[in-house]
Amino acid sequence: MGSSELIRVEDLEIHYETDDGVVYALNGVSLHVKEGETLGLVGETGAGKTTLAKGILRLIPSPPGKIVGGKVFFEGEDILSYSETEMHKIRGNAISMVFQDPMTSLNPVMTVGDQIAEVIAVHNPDLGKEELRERVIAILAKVGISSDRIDEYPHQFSGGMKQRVIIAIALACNPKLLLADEPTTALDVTIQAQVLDMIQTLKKELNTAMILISHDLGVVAQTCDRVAIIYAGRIVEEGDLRDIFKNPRHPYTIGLLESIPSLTKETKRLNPIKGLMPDPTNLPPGCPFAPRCNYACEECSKAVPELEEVNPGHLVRCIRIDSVEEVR
Amino acid sequence: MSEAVKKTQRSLWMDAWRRLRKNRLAMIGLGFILLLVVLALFTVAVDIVTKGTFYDEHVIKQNLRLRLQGPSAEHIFGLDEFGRDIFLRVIWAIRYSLFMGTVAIAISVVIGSFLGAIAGFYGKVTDNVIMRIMDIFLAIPSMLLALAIVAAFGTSLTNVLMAIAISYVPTFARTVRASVLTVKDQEYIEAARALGASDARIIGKYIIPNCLAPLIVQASLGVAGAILSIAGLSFLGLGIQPPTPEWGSMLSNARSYIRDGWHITVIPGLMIMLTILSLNLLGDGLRDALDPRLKN
Amino acid sequence: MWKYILKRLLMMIPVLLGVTFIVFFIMSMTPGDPAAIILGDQATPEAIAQLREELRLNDPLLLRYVQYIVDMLHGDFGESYKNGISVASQVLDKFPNTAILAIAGILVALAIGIPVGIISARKQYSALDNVSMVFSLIGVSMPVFWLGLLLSLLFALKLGWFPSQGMGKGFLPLLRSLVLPAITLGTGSAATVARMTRSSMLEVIRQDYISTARAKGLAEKVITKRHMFRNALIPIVTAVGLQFGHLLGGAMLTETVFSWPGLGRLMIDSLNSKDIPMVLGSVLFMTIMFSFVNLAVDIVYAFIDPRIRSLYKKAGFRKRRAIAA
Repeated sequence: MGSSELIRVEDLEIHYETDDGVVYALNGVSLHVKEGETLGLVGETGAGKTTLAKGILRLIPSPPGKIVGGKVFFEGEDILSYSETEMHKIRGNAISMVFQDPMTSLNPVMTVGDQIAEVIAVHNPDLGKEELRERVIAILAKVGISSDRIDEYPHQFSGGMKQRVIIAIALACNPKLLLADEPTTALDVTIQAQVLDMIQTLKKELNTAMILISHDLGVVAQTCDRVAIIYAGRIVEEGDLRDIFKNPRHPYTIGLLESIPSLTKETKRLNPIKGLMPDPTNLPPGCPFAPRCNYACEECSKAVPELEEVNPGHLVRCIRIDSVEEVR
Repeated sequence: MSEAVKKTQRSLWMDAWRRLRKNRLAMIGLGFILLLVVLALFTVAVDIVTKGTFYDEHVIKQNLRLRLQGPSAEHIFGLDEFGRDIFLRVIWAIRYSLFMGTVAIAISVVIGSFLGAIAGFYGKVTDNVIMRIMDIFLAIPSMLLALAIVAAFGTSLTNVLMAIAISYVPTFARTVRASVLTVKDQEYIEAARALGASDARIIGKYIIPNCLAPLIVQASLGVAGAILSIAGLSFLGLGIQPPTPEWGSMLSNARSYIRDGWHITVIPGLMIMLTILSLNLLGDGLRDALDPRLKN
Repeated sequence: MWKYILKRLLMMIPVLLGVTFIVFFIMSMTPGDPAAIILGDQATPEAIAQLREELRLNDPLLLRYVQYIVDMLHGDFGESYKNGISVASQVLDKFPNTAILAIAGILVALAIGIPVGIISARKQYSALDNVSMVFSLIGVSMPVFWLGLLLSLLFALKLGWFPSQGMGKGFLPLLRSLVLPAITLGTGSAATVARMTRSSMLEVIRQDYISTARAKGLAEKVITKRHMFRNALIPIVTAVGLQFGHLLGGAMLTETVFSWPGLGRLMIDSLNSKDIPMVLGSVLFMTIMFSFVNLAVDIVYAFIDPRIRSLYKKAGFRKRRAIAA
């Protein structure tokens, strides 16, 4: 894929200042996505996935949230330096977001048609009422909802249908980048597959790039071109789909892959990662994964390792890669 | 109940107390209420020791020569339209508001909880009958209900008390019923039932303790409302009758002399307001302390 | 929609029957013989007995209640013991005055309470929020009659801006005489509405659909108006409906303070002269008004919240299943 770079996040740092101390949610995350590409962002609950997505759109509730440092270049421009009014033009238009829970992400007192029309109208103020309605009907058709449901309210839709409406809202203005935050987690398995298929088809059709946030490696394997693994607010490994799934180098990635059941390999027991992610208000000085890591040595808990390129495009944040390799 | 369960229960209350103590406004409210209680007890003690002579001499006896005198070093809140010391009358009045408000709410808590618990626990017809009757009572604005009761039975202390108590019963019945309904189907109740616990035991041992938090909050806010209603009824001449000192009736009398001295209007009203404000602060604090989820 | 309103109307009937019974029962407990009260001290026992017969006071309570309801349905609330004029005509004569006062009070409450609540929620924990919440706590704790006395002391007696007593005739004098009573009556409710609006808005601000709205690129003003406020409105409407009951109680006190010639005054005067049919009639009339306000609140719900509305629409199977889920 030789297309050009669409978004580049550099050293993004986001903290939440709460009564119980500062939550270090993102601690210098860098990543990039090319046009039309899908990047999978994988990590446990609380690793900072949603904060990253909301941070890109500058939707972090403040207070308590605060973007402490870093840059977000979208089509070459640092959107962190944009004014709030300039951001309004980006949100829902060039970059849009799909939230986790379809049950609560739609306004219960507005018809779905109005909720879709709203995003089109705000970015195309010249459209007349009729044209607006036509465009809503068109986008509804794209997500597989018949036009006679345009004046219904969210409570009249099932969970899967609601998520289709939310995707329709997100794609209504043909965004260049879609941030999909666990778009299928709240859905039944059969519906999950349908919705994922639909997202895939539509994003190809519109040539939309996507950052797909998930904790489900199966979903990521199915949809993504590249994968970034995030742990305690830092990217610990990043690479092509093949790099990550066939040749994982970071102990955390290896642990993640071993903790899912495989149909092809014979395993008596699953191998879960022991322990819990460190408290984000009180991160250890060294590699945050060290306390749970089988390969950790004294050196690991002294300083946070740098992200290093082991193969072209395959980055790993671990000082023990070599010994990890030996043991395996 | 096992030791461990007891311990966690105790620490739940301790947690709530710790949260409440951190809430400065709620503590100010609590402090003022405690001050009122101490003052009220003090006046009762004075009445007992002096066999009511101090009361007759300084709180009731008129001294028309000095009427409407403004605040001075001798009488810090001044004198009223009959030349009585407003400070003393205001202090002596505490017992009526505080005591009657508390007793009225205590009565309605007992009746309301009983009805609400039965309605929630037994459900079906029982629930329907009780709650529809409560709906009917709720449909009558509480001040009107109290007024009708006082009108029919006469303006005595007990009647005012009963009038206020009755008008608050539906509130508590609803509160308790709602908590019972959420608790009733929990698995530990099923377990207790499976172990052969009687209805009375389940209600007393499991359901009532679970309703306490909302009940305490409602009750503290209820006392505030009750005191306000008592003062209102007295202001209308339907509550406590002069010359007995009561904040509402003091204000009612002050009305005719409003041009002659601001102090007779301001002081009793300020006492009512500060009392209600303290109870509201305490009630809000209790709600935040007992159910942190509700806190915004 | 009509089905919903009809259903609510039907549900009101048993409640109103219960209310009338309770009030009727309480008032019948009044000690003393009404006949003796009407005829005064000089009445002969024969005259009293005759009047008791005319007033059907010898009938059993339940029968008298049924008779009262039947009369009531014909618009007959009986006659005043005091002056023999029909209760209904006196009540209807005073009702508009109380209605004017109550509506003005509600308007004051909404005009202050809702903006203050919204601003407080939008700027949570700011100085503005703290100040307005302290003021609303004071407002909630302020006895209506005391506030009335203070206002008339300051603005009527000291400054002379507004009359302290009575109801003006003609539009402008009426408006002028309405200012102080309306503020008196509305302040407590304004404080309650402000607190309710704030907490309801704060609840809504946290909802996911607000994030969705932000992600659409809408301006904050639009989000507040279109997405937050409409959703926050349901608890606010409930609070306003409940406030109306308080307002009726407060109206009696306010009318007393400002000598406003309304239903509350009429009721208190009747109470003091033991005019039972007047008290009964006016309590019932106010309660019925209160029930209708509650009905109106329920109907407003249905307008605001499509979930409630569709429960009562003729729904197809698919829709009904979605509602149930």
